[in-house]
Amino acid sequence: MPEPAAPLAVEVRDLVKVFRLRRSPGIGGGRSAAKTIVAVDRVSFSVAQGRSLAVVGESGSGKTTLARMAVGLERPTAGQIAVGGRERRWKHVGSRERRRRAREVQIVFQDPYSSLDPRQTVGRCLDEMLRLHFDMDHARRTERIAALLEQVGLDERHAAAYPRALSGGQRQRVAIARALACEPRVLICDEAVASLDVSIQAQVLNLLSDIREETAVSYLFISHDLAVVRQVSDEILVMKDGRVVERGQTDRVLDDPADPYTQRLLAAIPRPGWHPVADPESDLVTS
Amino acid sequence: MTLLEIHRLSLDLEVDGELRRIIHDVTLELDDGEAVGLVGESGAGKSMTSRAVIRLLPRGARLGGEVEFDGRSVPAMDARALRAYRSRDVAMIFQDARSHINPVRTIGAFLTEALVERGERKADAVTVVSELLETVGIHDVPHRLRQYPHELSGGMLQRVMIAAALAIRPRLLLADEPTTALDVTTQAEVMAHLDRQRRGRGLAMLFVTHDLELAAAVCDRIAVIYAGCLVEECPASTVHDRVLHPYTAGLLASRPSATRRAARLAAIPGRPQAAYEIAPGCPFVARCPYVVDLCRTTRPPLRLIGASRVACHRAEELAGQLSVGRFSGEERARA
Repeated sequence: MPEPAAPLAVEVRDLVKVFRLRRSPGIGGGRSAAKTIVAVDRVSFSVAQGRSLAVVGESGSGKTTLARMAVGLERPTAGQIAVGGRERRWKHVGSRERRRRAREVQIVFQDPYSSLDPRQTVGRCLDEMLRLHFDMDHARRTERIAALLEQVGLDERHAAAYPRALSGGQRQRVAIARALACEPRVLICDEAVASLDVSIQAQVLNLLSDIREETAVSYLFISHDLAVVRQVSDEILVMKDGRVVERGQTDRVLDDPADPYTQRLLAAIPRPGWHPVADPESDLVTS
Repeated sequence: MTLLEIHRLSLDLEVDGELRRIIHDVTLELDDGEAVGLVGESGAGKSMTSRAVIRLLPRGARLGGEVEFDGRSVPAMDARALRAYRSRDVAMIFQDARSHINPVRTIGAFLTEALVERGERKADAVTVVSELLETVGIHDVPHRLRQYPHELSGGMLQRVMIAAALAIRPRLLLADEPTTALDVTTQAEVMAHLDRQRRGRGLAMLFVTHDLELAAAVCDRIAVIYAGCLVEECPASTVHDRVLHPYTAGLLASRPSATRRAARLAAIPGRPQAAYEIAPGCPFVARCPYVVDLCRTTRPPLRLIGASRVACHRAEELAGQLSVGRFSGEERARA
């Protein structure tokens, strides 16, 4: 358990997200009928300052919708989100308030090929964040950019580069540096290492644990990969079809999973001596 | 008996009017009924190797070396022979089923096309593919045959593609990351069906993947490719205990484990290089912790050591030291 004295970085209570899908008229002959999907169904959790929580699940589990609500890209249908003890409101949010929220929660997306502006050098990308969020003169910004690049294992040569000149791993480092630029309380990693080659993935995972030791940042780690989650999280939340099916300390959940779905996820990971087995029920799941 | 023989394969592709090296040197044999996992990171040339086997290469590709299927040269085939080869001897399963199955035709039309094309009666073809769909775990087959690809999930479509590959009764399956885009439980499901069908029919398979663990679970042998060069080939059963190339050891050590947390992952320094970026020496020289001068000047040839083939100058000397623990221990000491 996190020390009770540690203040909560994020607290989420009974969060719900319902998407309305409108069926286009004509196809199928019927009249347009609204169909709703409950992507996130009454999910609650909290992350103490400096701790790391992993949200685990397969596609359609609602884990990415949860992340998008936490960072403010999606408005919850119901429920509360508090960051640093302050309740989020969803009406009449001005640009000043948006910027303040951005300084609290930042996100690193899965695909570093589409999450960076191709017409902006790495240095300008970081400079823009600093100008937007802080009152710093040029010299201090330059200094800070150098420090940020060093923190993620890049150097000043990379500041002049455009994303197209960088490898996938380097781009993801830039995305992490950009997120760290405004010194957030919470860093959300939405499958941030999933598209990286295994040798690069290890580097970025090591980098993320270094950053946690150096700063007091909290992680909300969204992932489908239980091996990655074991490496980076203290606690774990297993989601399926929008609901939490199991939660607890990472080591406890992965060593001794209580829920059958968590057990199935673990059993499906290739490892020495493993052999793939068809699950007679799974056709119902995938259809 | 040798079914497929890839001998000193090289490949150049035209990029912006210039020839760019994609594969330097790949030599690999597959026996009848044998499964070989071709493992590597992105850009290593593993997909292009499998595409060279079926001659499905981009325009302007220049192939060197030889690919022989059952004693016949694939690069030398004329259009007619190539068509027969692709429709009877070898079948390919792609990573992204959704973009390799015609979206405007039904699943039934997609599955029976190859059989009808080669002269079988439509009704017979439907019987054949219906049975195949059942064997890969798809229920309610008549309904599925009338559906369109967008009505099926990714895991379901990938099983349709496997059924299509089996339908032509090939002798060799080429599977290019067939489960990479799928959820882990769906991957286990699809791999279980693929593995059972392949073994039951005595099919040979070249399994292209970035996942060494997955390859080791379903293949007889593992071939590791780095920057367009085959660097190690070994029995799948020994891959966890005895690897001979530092890159293979690094791949094993850098992957986190779901069963225990490492104090620090043994990351291989640097980034994966493409074939056209490497110097004349060993392809792994820039990232290898065991480099000596010879590695910088001379490209190591593949040598037979025990049951493995390895392209490393120091293989004998390092044998036994390359255990995963040792690799991570060194990395920790350095950090």
